[in-house]
Amino acid sequence: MRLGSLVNNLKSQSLISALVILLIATGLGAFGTTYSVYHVMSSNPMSYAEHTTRYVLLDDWSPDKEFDFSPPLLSYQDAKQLAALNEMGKSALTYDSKLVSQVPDSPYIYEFTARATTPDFFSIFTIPFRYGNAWSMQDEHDETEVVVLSQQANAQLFNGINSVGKTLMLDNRPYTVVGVLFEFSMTPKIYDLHVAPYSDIEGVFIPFSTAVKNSVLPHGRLLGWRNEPLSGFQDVFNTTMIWLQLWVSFDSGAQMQAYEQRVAGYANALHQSGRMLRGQDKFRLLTPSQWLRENEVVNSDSQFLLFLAIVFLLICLLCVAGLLFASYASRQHALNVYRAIGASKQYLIKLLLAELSVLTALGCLLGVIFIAIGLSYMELLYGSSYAQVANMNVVPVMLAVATCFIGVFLASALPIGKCCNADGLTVQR
Amino acid sequence: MSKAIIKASELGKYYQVGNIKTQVFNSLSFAVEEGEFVSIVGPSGAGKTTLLNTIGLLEKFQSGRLQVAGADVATMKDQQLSQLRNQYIGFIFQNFNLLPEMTVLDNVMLPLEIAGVSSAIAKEKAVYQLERMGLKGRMDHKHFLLSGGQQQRVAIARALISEPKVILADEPTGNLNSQMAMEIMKLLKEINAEGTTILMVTHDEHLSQLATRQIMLSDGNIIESQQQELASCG
Repeated sequence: MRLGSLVNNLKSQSLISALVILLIATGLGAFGTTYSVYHVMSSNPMSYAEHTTRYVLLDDWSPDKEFDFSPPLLSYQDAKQLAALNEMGKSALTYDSKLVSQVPDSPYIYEFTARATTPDFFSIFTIPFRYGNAWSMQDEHDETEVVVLSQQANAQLFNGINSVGKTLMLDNRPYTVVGVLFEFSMTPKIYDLHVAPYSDIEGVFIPFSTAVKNSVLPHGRLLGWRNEPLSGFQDVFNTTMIWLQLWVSFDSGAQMQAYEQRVAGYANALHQSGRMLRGQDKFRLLTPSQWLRENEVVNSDSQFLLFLAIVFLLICLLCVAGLLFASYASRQHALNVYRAIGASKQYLIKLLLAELSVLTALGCLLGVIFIAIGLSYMELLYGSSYAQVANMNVVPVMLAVATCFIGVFLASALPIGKCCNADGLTVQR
Repeated sequence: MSKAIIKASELGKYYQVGNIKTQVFNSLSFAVEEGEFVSIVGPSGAGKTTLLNTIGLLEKFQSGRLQVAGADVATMKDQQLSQLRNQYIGFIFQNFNLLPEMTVLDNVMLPLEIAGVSSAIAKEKAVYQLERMGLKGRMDHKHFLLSGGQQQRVAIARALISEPKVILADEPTGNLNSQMAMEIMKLLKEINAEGTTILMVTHDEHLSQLATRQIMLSDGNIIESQQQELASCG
């Protein structure tokens, strides 16, 4: 069958064809936008490390009902001890902050989101370097003033040149640049689920020990339930207040098992000393996906929105089926002429499917444009922190298009079947 | 001795809607030899068009046997029936049944397009047929811009493009004035003279006289099948 014939057939039903295209596009636009956001939100950026990486939690919370939640962070002392227990594997002790940054002799001052962490952080989360490297364990131990910059921060501060070895003032203290990252994003930002899970990565990264020494204040949560008076930030280190994350990774299952036993021993010791009142077994080593679920990254609103979008797509597909019924009914005579001059039922099915493919392709093309508009509007609505989520990702969009294609063809099965199997395929004289 | 291109033996057909069964014809037996020009006549409701559609493999029958071009059609699948229809049978209708979304050329090419013939060959054959019908200059027009006689000639060109063995014509002059009707009949006679078998349903006594044989149907039965003298087309 020729493309010209297909186009002629579609042109003869131009209004219905346009409506079918518009319905497919609208359904896909709504479904694709919602699904794209849902897909990004529900993705696990650490799926590759599901069997090797764990998030460490100790439940040293009050047994009183009013404190009925699981503490998501660790205290300074516990975090340090638990990190030290992982002798064979890697450990990333981390918290987030904000730092005022200035290149010496430059009039420009920037405030960057900052992350204080240990050097294994970059390898655990496979963050790539463009220039230089992470600081060394020795730097960490010596509380050295060194810094790693994100590509964006390096572009702003040093015009994107290799700034390794250059000095940068952070909160009026000189730090030496030891590394610059490649452009990197992680959605959701699994190590930052409490503060900004869909934001860009931090601008500056500094050693954890240096941050503690220089009293770099945490920007995230600082939680406690015991009556522990604080007169300054340094007091926090000796309290049971929680504010730190600990990520650990292992080269083997045996290493992980050994670590788990050590953590159990540590929890038991805490329990014996009068802490961990909910029980000595209240410690957890969570996989990345468990940590994402624990934090309800995909909230019920998003799930409900996706459900609504699916219902809307189904309604659009039902409308498409209705239009196809009307279209084929009005063309029954022409299709009977096809039969009279030798077209088999199979040929007619192929013809109608080919026509529908053209309409669906056009509808999907328009639908993808609608998705782009929808995602841009969401970014406009929720601000730049939503940029990663409202980004047009190929995988979810292609999945949405494929779903739509399959949906259209399923919706067309009845109209096409009924039309091509109509009894009395006689032609009006 | 010529052989039968259509052979019906005790052919029976009825329509059933709910419990109501309407017998269209019952136990029809006849044969049409290659190269014949047969007219099927009879009063309205006699089953002429249904018989033509059954012979044209558009409608199923419930009993008896039907052979078209030597093939027993009762056991054939839709794909085979369609192929047989496409290659051996050409249809001409009273209201032409040209497709309005297509040009005259596209309408004529359609049977070959369905048969999977390449566009270039289909176009070449369609142009030849339209030239033969005196319509080469109108091939890019939409059919509704043509006169009734011209439209019927387009329909004949479409019916002939697959070089069928049989042409089934259902009141081919029913929508035409007498002058155009005679032109079409003349054309059909020419086609018949070239060896194509023609079965024509008509209620026009005068036109039926132009056929070499007349089958008269009444209440689904053949009441007369007679050889007749060839009459002239005006």
